[in-house]
Amino acid sequence: MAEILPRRWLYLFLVLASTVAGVTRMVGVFQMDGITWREGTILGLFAILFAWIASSFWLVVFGAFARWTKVDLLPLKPPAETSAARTAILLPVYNEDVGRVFSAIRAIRESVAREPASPDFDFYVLSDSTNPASWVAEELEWQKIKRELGDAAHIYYRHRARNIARKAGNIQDFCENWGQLYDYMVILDADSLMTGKTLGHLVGLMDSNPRTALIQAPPQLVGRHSLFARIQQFASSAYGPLFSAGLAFLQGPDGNYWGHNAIIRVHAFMQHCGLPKLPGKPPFGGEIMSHDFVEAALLRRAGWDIWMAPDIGGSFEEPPPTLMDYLIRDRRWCQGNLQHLRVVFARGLALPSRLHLAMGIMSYVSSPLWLLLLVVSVVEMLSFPAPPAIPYGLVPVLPLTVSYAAQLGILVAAMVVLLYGPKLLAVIALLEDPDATRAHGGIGAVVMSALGEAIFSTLMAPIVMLQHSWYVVTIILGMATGWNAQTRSDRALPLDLVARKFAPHMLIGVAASVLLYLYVPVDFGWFVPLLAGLWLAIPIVVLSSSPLLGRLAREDDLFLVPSETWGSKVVARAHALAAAHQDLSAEPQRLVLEDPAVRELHLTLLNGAPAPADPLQVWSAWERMRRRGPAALSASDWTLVLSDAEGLKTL
Amino acid sequence: MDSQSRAFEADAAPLNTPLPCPRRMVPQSLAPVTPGRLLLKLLLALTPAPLERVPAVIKRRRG
Repeated sequence: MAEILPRRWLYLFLVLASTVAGVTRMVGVFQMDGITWREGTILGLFAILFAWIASSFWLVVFGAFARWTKVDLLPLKPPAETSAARTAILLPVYNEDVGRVFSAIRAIRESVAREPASPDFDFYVLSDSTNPASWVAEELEWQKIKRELGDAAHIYYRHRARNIARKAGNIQDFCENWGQLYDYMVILDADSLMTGKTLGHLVGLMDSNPRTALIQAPPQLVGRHSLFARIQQFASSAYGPLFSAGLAFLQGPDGNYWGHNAIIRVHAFMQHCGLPKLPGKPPFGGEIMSHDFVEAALLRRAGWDIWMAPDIGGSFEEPPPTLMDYLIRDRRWCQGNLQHLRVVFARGLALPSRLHLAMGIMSYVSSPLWLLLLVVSVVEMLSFPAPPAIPYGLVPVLPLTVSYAAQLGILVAAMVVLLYGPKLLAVIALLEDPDATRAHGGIGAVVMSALGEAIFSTLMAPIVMLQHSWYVVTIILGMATGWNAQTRSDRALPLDLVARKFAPHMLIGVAASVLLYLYVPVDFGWFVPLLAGLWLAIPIVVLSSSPLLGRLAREDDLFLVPSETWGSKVVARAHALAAAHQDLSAEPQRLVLEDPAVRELHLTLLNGAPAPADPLQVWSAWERMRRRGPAALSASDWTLVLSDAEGLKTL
Repeated sequence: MDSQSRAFEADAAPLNTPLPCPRRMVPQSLAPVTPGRLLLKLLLALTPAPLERVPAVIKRRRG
């Protein structure tokens, strides 16, 4: 810890020094004719946002320094040769594609079996599924895998009748029932994978380092084929290593938890990570949505160490397949992070934990701040007096706007360096490693992919800024989001759907362009990079969702990642199994009524689950089924029927 | 190791999970820092351990 403090002070100094330099230059611009309230607002917003992008820039610079000086980023005692620990691998699922879930289990299990002297792992599918078809399909898939692999495979299935506290409640329910049986648990997402080697290594590290409560294995984005997903995968693979190295270098044992692909010491988690309901109503009160950061903060408060293992490898997840899916996921994450405003000032939290929470909040709040900065800047430009005439006399005077442009040009250049510098640094670091360069398709492919990613992320930024701003405003106005299953499979989005969703972005872009062109034609050029993304919002979303364009990019070696060039057994196996998977039935819930064997399985798995709360509703559902047949049942009717063990036994 | 391995021996074949071994997780407090507490912390930080000094002063006077 003693060696981390000077790093943090230096980091803080560099962020503050960069911000002070930027703000001073801005003050210099405004002081030419005094500072008005609008200019004061611009200065305040500029200072916050400049510090925000400077913090990312210096984080990556520190990451590059750590990589080049080969600093040990995970200074833990090495893992023991063998482990007697029991570890549960948890897959919390919520209306997910069952083929993918069970293919992942098979692939991970096979990967574990390939490792000599691997520790014991049990698998838990922890279902919160509310869709009756998903629920019964999960039961059938579980039975199938149990039959094929036998009881020794230790693959368990539990369906929760009431989804209290969403995913955090799902994990808590596991801990409260079976947590005491295990030393560690590894949390996976429905689209995560980890290799047996990595899992064994994590268990060994936990054994050797008893003060450690959690080790986060940063997942690499892999496995999707749309152009959007491939660009995200490349960005994560090319830029991620410096970013995670920077984080690990600065945070040390004050690490964070990203909600999955992490190993957790169960007794520490059970003792300190019971989450309270926040006072008030959603979106700010109620159940904690983004539980991971809060759990990490609670573990740190209790004195446990949390580490990130940036070089451990063998940890994967899939990106959202389209920009639309990415933004849908962000709605939930935005609410979860804004809710942390109620947590960030909690008593006893360590300062780094507060910073993790604050940075999560800022990653969404920065969008409306950027938007506000742009709007106030435009209003300020509109209020500029006309440039004074240049006197042709003994005392030449430049028009004021020329001085503005020169000063602002320097500031914009500084911001471009802060925004694109980390990418450039990451590409240089990548090109220095011949193996990594080959894994990304070679020098030419890396350069072209990085350029393509830079252009795409520039076009995407204003769309994301508008969308995040909308999310923040609606959440502040008190609109809470629901809990929807994510779309995880590749699909080309239809034009009419995208046009409906992204027409507002395009219209805002066109309207802003017309206004700017009419009123500040001289400065219009400054705004073109921002406006272009909005003008093109619809084609950007449609084209980037295309798996065909993704495939064409791959054929040209663009946006390649190591799991594609070198291959990853666990990823390839999981995908092959998922591709070969066939659904057992289009409407598996009907089988519970029609097939006695399926009904018996369902009743066995239902054993001990609480009966539905309202018997009248159950009776109504059964009546509807008897009079009009199963086709007349709604999803909620099916849930009632499937939850009614007594009724099912009478069939 | 704090796992209770014996629970697995009781695992009956048709069951979907091992037998539960229930233990409640207690909700932790996330009450915010109040200005009063902040002030107290600040005072304590500025005053070099006053409470620890008290016994030493008493001892000196007695001696």
